[in-house]
Amino acid sequence: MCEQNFVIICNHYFMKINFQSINSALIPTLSGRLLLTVAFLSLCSISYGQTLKAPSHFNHHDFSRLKDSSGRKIKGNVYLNIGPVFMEQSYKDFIVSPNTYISNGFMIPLLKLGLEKRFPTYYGYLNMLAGTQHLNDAPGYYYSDDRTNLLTFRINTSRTWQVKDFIGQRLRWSVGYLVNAEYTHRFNEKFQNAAYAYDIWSNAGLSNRLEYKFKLKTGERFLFVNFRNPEHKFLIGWQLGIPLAGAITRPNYAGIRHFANGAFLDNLYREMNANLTFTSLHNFVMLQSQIELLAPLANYNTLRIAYQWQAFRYNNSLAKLQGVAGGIEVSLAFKIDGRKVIDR
Amino acid sequence: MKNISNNIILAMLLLIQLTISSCRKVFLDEDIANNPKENFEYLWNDIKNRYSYLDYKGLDWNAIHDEYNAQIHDGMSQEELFSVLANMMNELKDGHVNLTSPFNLSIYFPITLNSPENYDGRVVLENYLLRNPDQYYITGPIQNSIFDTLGVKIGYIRYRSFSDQLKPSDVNYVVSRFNDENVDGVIIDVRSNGGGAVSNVFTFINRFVDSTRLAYISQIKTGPGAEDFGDDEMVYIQPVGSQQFNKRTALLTNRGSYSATSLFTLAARSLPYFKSIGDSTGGGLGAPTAAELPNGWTYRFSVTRTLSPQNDNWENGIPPDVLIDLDPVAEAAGYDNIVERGIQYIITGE
Repeated sequence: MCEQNFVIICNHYFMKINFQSINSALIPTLSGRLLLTVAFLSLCSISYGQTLKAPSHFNHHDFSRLKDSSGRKIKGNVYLNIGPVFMEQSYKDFIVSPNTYISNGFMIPLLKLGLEKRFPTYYGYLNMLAGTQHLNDAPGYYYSDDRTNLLTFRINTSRTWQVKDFIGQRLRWSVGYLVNAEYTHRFNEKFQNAAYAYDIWSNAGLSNRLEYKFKLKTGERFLFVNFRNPEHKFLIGWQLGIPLAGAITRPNYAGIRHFANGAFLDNLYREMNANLTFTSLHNFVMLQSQIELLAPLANYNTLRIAYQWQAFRYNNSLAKLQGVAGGIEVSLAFKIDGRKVIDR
Repeated sequence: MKNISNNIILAMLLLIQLTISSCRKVFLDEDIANNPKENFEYLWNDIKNRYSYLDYKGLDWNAIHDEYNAQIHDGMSQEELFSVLANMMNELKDGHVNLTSPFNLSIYFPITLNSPENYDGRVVLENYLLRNPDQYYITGPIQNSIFDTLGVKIGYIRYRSFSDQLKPSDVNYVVSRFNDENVDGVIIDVRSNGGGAVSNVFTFINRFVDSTRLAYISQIKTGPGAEDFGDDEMVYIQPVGSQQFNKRTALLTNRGSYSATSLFTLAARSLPYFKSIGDSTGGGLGAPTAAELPNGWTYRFSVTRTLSPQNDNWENGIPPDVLIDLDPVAEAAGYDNIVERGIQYIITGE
């Protein structure tokens, strides 16, 4: 519901633009997907070209080429990131239902555990997100039907390299890659022999990141907080990822878990192998977006507040699956290296 | 100027994220409208695409669409809609076909009700299982007993439902007991056993197998076409456990022997010392899937088909080796002539 509210606000109050019709027109058609792919690849090519053409421009703030007083190359910082993600997940698994199953995600947050690298010329992370939630569809909520137990286990990694800085180095644009792996299963006893639905997929693609750093004057008391320093540095970032290729496995077209041979696990593994499918933009469209605010804490640690959003469509007519997940992350990033903090 | 640029950047990034988030409906299809017509069409199509016995049943599914579509109209009550959908599903004449709503469950009854019951649980308990009360054991879900007839020692197993979890140790114990007592043959009574977990079929039968044998062939629906089935999956039975029982065994079936019980019966046919006695099983050899309508009602139907090693399709019932109905006169006198026929097989081999 959270995203829906955003949509309503966006469409009716701020933008007066129907984004859904724009996106509907663009993405679901083959030509739309191709156009999107070409546009994204072009953007990345241009970015790469810019990197090649402007070495002198980068020199003055390419920290990787700088040495400290003892002649060693300056490295960046590594953070251990941990915290809850209050996520709402929606699934349409057409093997068992045409209805949208939505989690009451704010009741059971997922747990995020990650490593974050902030180096002078690149930014990278390796995140794990795991947890269980309950899902139901509208009739299910109405009839108080058995809920679907959803298990989510997700690993995302990405690294983006600095392409260009703007506004006096305060706005940084970087481009790189991302790799995702996700295991999700949904169990609902009311579906009897089709009670166990899963999707396991992995993919890789391109990632685009904008970071903007800014200072806030904090010399005066703010609410009940007395800041120690007269100003604090914050950073706001936005990262967009588009997976381009990967693989997925889903239950069979029939949807069943118990077969006529009674061998549950053997059948499960066999079906996972048999239904393994290569994916690319022709059958698996996915978008990941995250906007984050990093606020300084003591001991060079960081408070991270982020809104994560991920959506995908698996357009296999025999095992069609759609999912959208959006949630708010409130986590702490603990600096775990002994190096001096770089400006970024 | 600096503050202005800060605000602009922050606003732009927020706006971008909001825009991305608004893509939700690009990725999630709209739910199908919850009205009688859409529910009817969804169910009809899913059966057309995934039901594994549509050709076998010889039904003109398009004609059935026309017949029942004419009964669908806006404003019909939930009960009326349930009745139309359930009647349409019952055209499949399949015990694995059900429609479940919060207020009702549809079942196709004629499979059992159109045939004699051929089972009297009280007669079996009083005159066979309890013939020698000291020998009557309840081992897990298996009632078992040993009694003598004309100097022949008979072991009797009554398994009420394959839904009752059967542990390997349960069957191991019963088989060991029969072997230790040196029984001459066993009667396995699965009449009115409506099925359950297929895993129990193998836990049970594999203690009665002398060597690895092909039990049956299973095929799963892999696409919407009538003949879109996956490769043949050969299903074998094989000796399991420290002991097996490999002497004459009479398997008693009736029309209430359904689903997993039919699979058990089909597997038993591959054993030369087994003889099935009674009525045809009810069938139900396809494994059912379940799914949901836009209105939240769930339904199920078969999505696999099972063939004998000789490619017989006995979805409507596995014929017995010896077809015999329960004699009401014998029943009134406390005898079950189907059990007696099983005893005869153990004694004579005929």
